[in-house]
Amino acid sequence: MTDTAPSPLLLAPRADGRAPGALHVLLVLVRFEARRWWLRPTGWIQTAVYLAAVAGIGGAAVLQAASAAPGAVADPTELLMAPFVMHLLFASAGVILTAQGAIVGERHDGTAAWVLARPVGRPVWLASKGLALLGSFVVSSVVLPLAALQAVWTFGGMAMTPTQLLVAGLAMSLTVAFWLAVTLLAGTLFDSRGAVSGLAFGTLFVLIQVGQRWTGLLPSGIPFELGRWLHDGTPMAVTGLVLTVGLALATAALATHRFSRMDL
Amino acid sequence: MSVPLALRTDDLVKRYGGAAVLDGVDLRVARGTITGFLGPNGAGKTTTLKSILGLVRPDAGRIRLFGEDVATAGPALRSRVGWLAQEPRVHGHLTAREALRHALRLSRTTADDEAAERVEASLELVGLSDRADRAVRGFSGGERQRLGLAQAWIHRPELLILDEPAASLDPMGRRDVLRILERLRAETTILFSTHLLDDVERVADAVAILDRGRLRLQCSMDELRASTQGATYHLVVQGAAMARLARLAELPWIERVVTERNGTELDVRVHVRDERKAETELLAALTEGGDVRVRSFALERPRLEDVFVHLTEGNAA
Repeated sequence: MTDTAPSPLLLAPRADGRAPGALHVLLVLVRFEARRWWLRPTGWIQTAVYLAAVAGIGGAAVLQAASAAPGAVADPTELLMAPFVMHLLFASAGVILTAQGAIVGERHDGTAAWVLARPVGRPVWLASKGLALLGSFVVSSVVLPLAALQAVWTFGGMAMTPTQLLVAGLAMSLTVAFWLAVTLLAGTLFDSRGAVSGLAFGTLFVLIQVGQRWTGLLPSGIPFELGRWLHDGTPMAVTGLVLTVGLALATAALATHRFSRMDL
Repeated sequence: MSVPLALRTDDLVKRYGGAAVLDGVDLRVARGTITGFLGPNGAGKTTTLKSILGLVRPDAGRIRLFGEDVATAGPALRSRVGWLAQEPRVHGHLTAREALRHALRLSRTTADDEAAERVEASLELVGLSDRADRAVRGFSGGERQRLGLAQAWIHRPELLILDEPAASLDPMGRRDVLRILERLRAETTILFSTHLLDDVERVADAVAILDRGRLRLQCSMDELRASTQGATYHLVVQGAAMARLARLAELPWIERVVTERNGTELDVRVHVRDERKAETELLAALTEGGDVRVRSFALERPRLEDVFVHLTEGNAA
């Protein structure tokens, strides 16, 4: 503890900048959150898991198809959809486990209140959480695994066209966005991590069960639609994609509304 | 003369499950003052402070910061306020310097060079310059508290709201925090909650006492001292004093006399209405005749503690 007089800066006239705008605050928070993701081992561990699940399964599928006698593989679509189903399972679980504490954890340990006592709007804070997690998960579970999958499939002579690659990336990102929105909403409904992840995993389980039947309608049907399209060019159902985008946006809006009314 | 207010709450009400945690709180904080916000645990101090910051939504009432209604003003209004939580949380992986930078980025737009200067000045203010590049997770409780204070101050707010800034600290840490408040006195308006009466007496210009969600008292420390008119004289006497004390109690300038036997001595507290009269006549009235010996004589002023206990115990259910 020093006992010196305050520095001249402390005593200077108050002419220090202005309140930051919403975009400035959003960028500061997104950068801070994204840094946290990549600075922690869990970010890299999860990336390794997604690489193994998507490219590893995809690679195995290629090897199986290549080594099988003609006609031995009953449904080649299943082989093509396997990496995307793995992505649905692993990335959704990863999103739920990571995002379950985004609201509840930060409420409990006081860091949400610390940020929101500053000139930061609640929608901006929530958006920063969503965008940072979405960006991190898109890189970890979509971009890197998809690049690895393309490398493996190219080696096996099954490379995706640039359009297929782009559509696959967008569809996988949409899956991540949907489960992120669901988990954030659950974070505004409950006050414990267990309840938040319970609701999100329960929803995932139910949607996977029914998703195989109504692949063109539900968010969990996207991997199946994607596999079919890659195999025989059957167009993906627009209804399912539009519905998933709509559900993700509605869920995010509801989460924002709920969070704006919470006591911290 | 009206004093410009930094903060004003009107009829603030907050209920949890039907129970009123705040029950019509009308708090006033004048600009340029240090106000001690006193109350026993559970009185509603933290809820009041969080309501001011928009972290808790009141069920009724109005809060104005610098004349602007908190409910309708945007978040930009909070750039004029700094807050230290009761248990300040800082991301442990950050260094003190990074934590301050982060706090500043969220509170003000400043040029890089000015931001760097401001970080250094804040580190110096709280005595953490030598630990600036160490990870916060290794900090002691006192160091975290000082860092939290620096984060609250980094953007030079016009109002600093501190929730129990010294409650969990050892005497040295507490002394450090109070010194920082003294240094900031000329710079900003400070509202700090506490249940440590001594802290209020040491640094505050004004006091507000909250008990079970209701504001029991709000005034300047000068007004408080002036309002506690009268004084108490504490005497230790020997000899045949009882009859003399009984006659003393009938004098018009004496309010009451309280005695307690302590061996051969008598502990006497004389509460007087007229201090001047007591100064000139009390001893003479007691020792007249020479059969009473006064072994000690001291003036006791009413303390904030007396007022606090009177107000909070007096309203106990």
